[in-house]
Amino acid sequence: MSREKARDDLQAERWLQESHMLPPLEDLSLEGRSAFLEQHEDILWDFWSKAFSVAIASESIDPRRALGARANEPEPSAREIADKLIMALHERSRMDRANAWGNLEGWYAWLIGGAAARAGRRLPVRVQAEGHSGDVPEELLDLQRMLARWRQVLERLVERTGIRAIELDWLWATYQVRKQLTETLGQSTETSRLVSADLQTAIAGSSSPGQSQADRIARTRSGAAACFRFNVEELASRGSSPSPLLAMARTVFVGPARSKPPYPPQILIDTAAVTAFEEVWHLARERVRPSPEDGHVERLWKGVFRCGLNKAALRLLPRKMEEALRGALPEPDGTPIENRRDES
Amino acid sequence: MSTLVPDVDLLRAYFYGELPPEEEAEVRRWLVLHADPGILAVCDELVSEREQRREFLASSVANPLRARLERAFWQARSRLGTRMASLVDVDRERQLALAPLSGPPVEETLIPARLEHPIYLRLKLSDSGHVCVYAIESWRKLSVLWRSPGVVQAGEADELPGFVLERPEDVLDLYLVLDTAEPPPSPDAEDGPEWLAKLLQRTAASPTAWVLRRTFVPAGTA
Repeated sequence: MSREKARDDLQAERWLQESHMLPPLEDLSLEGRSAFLEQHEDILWDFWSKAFSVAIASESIDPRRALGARANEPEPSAREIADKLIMALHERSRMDRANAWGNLEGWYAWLIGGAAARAGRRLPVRVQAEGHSGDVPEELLDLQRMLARWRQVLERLVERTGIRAIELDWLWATYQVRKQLTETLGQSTETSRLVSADLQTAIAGSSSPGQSQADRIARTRSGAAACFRFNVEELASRGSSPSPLLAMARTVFVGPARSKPPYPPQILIDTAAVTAFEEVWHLARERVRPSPEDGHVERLWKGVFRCGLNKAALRLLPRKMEEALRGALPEPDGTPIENRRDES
Repeated sequence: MSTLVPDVDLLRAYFYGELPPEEEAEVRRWLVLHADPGILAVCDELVSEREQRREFLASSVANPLRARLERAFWQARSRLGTRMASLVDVDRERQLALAPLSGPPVEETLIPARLEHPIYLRLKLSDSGHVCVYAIESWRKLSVLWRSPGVVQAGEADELPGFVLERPEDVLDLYLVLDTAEPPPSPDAEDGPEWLAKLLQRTAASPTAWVLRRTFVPAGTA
């Protein structure tokens, strides 16, 4: 019985593949693609225009990233995206891999990559010479990987400290760095929390949303502390086993925290913990050193790391230790760190 | 120890079978070891998303003529124009179309019709021209529902012959082509949707021709 069922399944699968599925695109050369399209172009267009319309309606795809402000209703936007994709398949000189036909998100990312490249200078993406647009989607993928990593680090921060506000403080403190992302990526549902950079929203979400001088100082401290913690977690969760000092920093600063901003650790801070604090500072300082080879993604990474190199983060330590360490810590290279200016 | 933590894009690639074997194995291992209910819910969503898209694809693959017509029609529609036509359901005086003959449609284009009840349409144009109304039954059979004997004058009303949907699976597409310069062509007896698709492609390129479409489906299925 089960063998029969398996055979039926297999037959159903074959039926799908042979008669009712589009074969995969195997020859990625320009000629190969145009031969494929000659046979299947209308079907592909018809499929994409319907499937994208559903994906747009369910907000899994944001049409504005490809179409800009004229994207409004799902159906016409979907048809336009299908047009653009077919056009890109016909025209792009290089194509490294083909997604499954149904992976609309994958195809869309491929499309946008090229569109961002053609839009050129306005976007802070390195634009390669004409005809090498294949490299730019790569950069976009790097950006997305970076966002995925940020998200992951933030989730662990919240989980381990038990304080949700730390993420919001981080969002506020990194607001300026992340602002450039909005232009590059637009708002996508997946990453919108990280990409959106509205200052008022960021302030309102932070631990000290008020406008008084005291609020601003408190906000700076909580923000710097959140960013410092972010650095700890990022550095300690890199690779498989962190150094003993990093592991200690993580236990102390990314462990259970007290409930009042800037949420200092619950665990007792001894001199070893202070050394661990210093270690993180030095490692982060290494990481933000600018290099002429830095691309857009590297600069964003460094910008975010730099936010944790703010001496206001010393507030995580007991007052005495804070004072002792304040003079001993070197400033990061490049532009000096000031307490973050509040633009509100 | 594996450092891989799949994000939604990686999971999607996994479910679409896009990953190289070793990465696929790594994701599978990760899912087995780490997936919590939240992740599994995302996986379920991704799988049902994939299935829904497969159905779309199967439907497009199974109806290549519909796909061709659909694309040709939207190519012809993409040109902006100001020619207006109104189609009215005579029995119910229901306005079915009062719209530019090209440009993005803002009106309802899918019209539910009662089975076995003839529908009579009245046509009125805001610009004079030759008109031909082509009918495609269930994306397969092409016929001419009505052709204007000469130039239809702006404002003049014409009654179109009635038509009927007989079976619940019937779908009737009416393509109204207006040409201010010459009468739209007539298909031969053996011509099908293919022929109309070519005509629509020519319409897309013609400065004097416009097209409008109305789709009639049995009530209750729309």
